[in-house]
Amino acid sequence: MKVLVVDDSRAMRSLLRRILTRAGADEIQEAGDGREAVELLETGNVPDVALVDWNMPVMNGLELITTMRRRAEWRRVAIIMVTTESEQSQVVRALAAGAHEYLIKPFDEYSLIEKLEMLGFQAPASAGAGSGPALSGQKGIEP
Amino acid sequence: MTLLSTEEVAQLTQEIWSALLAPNGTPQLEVGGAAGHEFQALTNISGEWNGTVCVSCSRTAAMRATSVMFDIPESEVTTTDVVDAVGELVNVVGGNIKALLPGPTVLSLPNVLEGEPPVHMDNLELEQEVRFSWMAEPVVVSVWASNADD
Amino acid sequence: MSVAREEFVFVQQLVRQKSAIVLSDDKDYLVESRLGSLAHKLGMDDAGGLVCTLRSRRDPDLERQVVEALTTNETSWFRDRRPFDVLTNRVLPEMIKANSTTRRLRIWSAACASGQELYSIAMVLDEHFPELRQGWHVELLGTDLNEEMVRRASAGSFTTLEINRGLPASLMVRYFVHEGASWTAGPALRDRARFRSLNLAAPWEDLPRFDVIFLRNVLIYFDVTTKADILKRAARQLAPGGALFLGAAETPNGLCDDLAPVPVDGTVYYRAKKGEP
Repeated sequence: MKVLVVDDSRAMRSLLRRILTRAGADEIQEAGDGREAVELLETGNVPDVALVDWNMPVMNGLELITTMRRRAEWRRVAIIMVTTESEQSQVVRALAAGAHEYLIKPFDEYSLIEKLEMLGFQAPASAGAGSGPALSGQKGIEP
Repeated sequence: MTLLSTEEVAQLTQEIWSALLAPNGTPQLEVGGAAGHEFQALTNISGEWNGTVCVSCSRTAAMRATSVMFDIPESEVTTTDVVDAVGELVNVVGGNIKALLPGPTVLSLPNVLEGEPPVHMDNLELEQEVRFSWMAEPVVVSVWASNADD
Repeated sequence: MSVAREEFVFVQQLVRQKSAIVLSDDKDYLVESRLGSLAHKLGMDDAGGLVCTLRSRRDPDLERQVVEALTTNETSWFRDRRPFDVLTNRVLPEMIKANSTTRRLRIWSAACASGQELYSIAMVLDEHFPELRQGWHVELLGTDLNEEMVRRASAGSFTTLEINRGLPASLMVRYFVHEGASWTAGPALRDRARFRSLNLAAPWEDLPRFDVIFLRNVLIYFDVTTKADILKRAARQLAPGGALFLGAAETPNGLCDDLAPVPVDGTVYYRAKKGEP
């Protein structure tokens, strides 16, 4: 799983990076705003998943999603909006713009892993979010 | 007019602390305690409701929060890191408070001040303030309403 | 008050015994923070007080809540996912066909905690079976021993942290209303869901027969005799052709002969072996 994390806070990116590593991400790229994300995408290294914050300088997350959905080669990227914007209308806007999933800050580690699973990315058993028969019913424990 | 109850602000702040700052083993945020303002992080809400949300705390609390969020020892924390981490905290607190206020509104990017006297909120009226204690260090969340359209 | 070493060891043993999960010695902070918020929910002072209560008397329900709070997916929506897929693709279409004359459907979430399981079932029904909205009696019952949990489940109000757990965003905006600091289940869910307290180990009074029973991740908290008894009674509580779902790691094997497994899509549910007595 290749992931692009777009958030203007380095602290948040660092936190997301740790969760993603535990969730089995092979490669994690970071961008501090939508413009930087577009520049990274332009290099041709297209991720499987993008975690996108909403409020960022230069180009915000909603603009980034709209831009990504206009480009055929970026359309397959699964997008999860990870933001403090929590009004119902905002969630609807993000989904309409092309986000697949939406995670409201604050969130706990497992909610992110579950969102990734919903989009078809299976975390390794040790990440502990998965359950059910695949893990012999063993529930994980927070690392 | 009270738009925000103490309980609401306390609950959402505690949730944010437990989600962003507890996984590494730091204890919960407790309600009650003194003021502290060595670091002040501000974000503005504008639109249907106008005002400012402020998270202020002692240097020790700010350093500790930064160390947890970046997962680095406090000795390695730089001021730039603190500004980033505390800015993200006010962003999350502000966003959650924004959802409790009349909308639609827009949240500004955070602004962090260090070592200044408590920001004097000209033309602003204190809407709500909750003081917390985080491992005996002060953390205060305050919400200021603009008088302009009241 | 923080959790003392001795209390931590007690919790560690409990979790190990009930879930086969080993909490390493450095997890005291986890016990502190998770049990702290559980204590808060249950109206107790803090984690220390909760552990104290736990040690003073045998309380399967409290034990369950403690173990669930310390394991990861206790309050997820669509927990374990697969039972809900099987419900949607297999069990409900069959039950709807079978009940087409009575036009009645009854589902029971037998250890509902704060209600995520029953509301998840309500979402499945509304999203995939809109035909049930007209002319059908759909009764969804959630029961829990703990009155406070029943109250919370009935209120149908969830915090941001809770709503984030495994609920697809499209369903969140469709079935929940963001009010104040919480997300509250809307009428499509609340009109069908009822909650009340019930002790699984005591006689079940006034319970109808159910087309579907979810009895998941709760049996492990009872001794073998009680477990067997609950399973037997659950089998009897099933309507003809009804389906019983157990937790992913649970089985009636060796405990109850009245249930026949129905393997489907990598998971399994159970039917009562004997027909209507």
